[in-house]
Amino acid sequence: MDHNPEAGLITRVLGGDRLAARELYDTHARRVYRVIYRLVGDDVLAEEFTQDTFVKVFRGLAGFRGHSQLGTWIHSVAVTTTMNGLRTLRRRSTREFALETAADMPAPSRTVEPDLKDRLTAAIDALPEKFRVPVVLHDIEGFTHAEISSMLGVPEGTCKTRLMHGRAKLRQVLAPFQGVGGTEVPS
Amino acid sequence: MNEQELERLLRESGDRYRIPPEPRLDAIWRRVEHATFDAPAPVVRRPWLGPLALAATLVIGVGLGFGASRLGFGSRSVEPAEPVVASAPAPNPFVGVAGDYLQQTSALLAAVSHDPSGDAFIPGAIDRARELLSTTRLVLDAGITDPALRDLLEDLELVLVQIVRLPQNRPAADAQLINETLDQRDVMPRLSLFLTNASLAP
Repeated sequence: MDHNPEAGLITRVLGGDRLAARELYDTHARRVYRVIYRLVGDDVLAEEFTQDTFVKVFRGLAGFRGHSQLGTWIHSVAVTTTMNGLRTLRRRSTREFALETAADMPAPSRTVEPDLKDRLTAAIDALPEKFRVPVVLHDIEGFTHAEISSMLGVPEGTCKTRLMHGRAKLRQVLAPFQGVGGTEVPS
Repeated sequence: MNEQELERLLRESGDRYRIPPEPRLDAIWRRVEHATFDAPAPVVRRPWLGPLALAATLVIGVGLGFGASRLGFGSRSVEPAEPVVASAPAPNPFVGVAGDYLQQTSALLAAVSHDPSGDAFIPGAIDRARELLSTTRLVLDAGITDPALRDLLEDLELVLVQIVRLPQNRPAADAQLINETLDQRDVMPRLSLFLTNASLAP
């Protein structure tokens, strides 16, 4: 932690300085909320998981050793909190939440074909979670494979493989729409 | 479509894929600050277990021992709580905290279930449910292993999530779903019995 540029801020937070804690929160909260929202697609859940993330961050900050950037570590907590929270809710729910419905629904049929980007966002939603998360984190949010590997707790190679499979599924879905690059029509 | 075209499309889709609304950062911070700094003990020095979770685990775990035996869940003891009890320096001050949590949850659910139309939905119920939801998750995160206790807390969490998700104008259909969850899972009777047994515990 000594070589971490945010070490001073962390030390102040650990000393009980609320202003320092608010400074840390302000630095990272907006991005954390955005990433969580991209994963859950629901503002209430995004808010809840953001809150849970920072409670865990402050409680676990003493254990942060600076082996990664503080932001990467915070996002690791955020992604873990979000994925665990979603799994818990799915396992328990007697009815489908809107976010699950949205994720599982095919693109709505329209008399006018949606443009390619609309089709792409629907295709991302329809990806299985283990492929969707790397696609969202890497291709949309711009995290590196190393960062995503840390967030998901999987080897970097696994992260790359999942991204590759996710992209392949997207290409498969989009190819008929664009009319090039593939012959398989998604069911 | 080749890889480069897809990558370009994906980069550009950041402008339209699940665009988040403006987050209520100050409101989130207040709850984080309360949970982190206003707890009974300096939680940053005990990252392995929040004091509130510890307190709730202690009280609920002991209470469940009584409740489970009366509910026919078997004579399973609350093994995880025992070593914690032994190491806790002063558990008594926490009893009120956990008791308050359960009573407040019970009161909120009772109010919601008695208001099926939603016309007179109690003011602040959603905010209250949000606070109780956070506490519930802290308790669950404490690593409760007793299945009966975990089931009850998970059901409470589910109902609280449903309340939190209610829109301000509270359509009756959504409110009815909450009541159905309460009925189907016997949440209120289980909670009442649990509170009764906990209050009888020495």
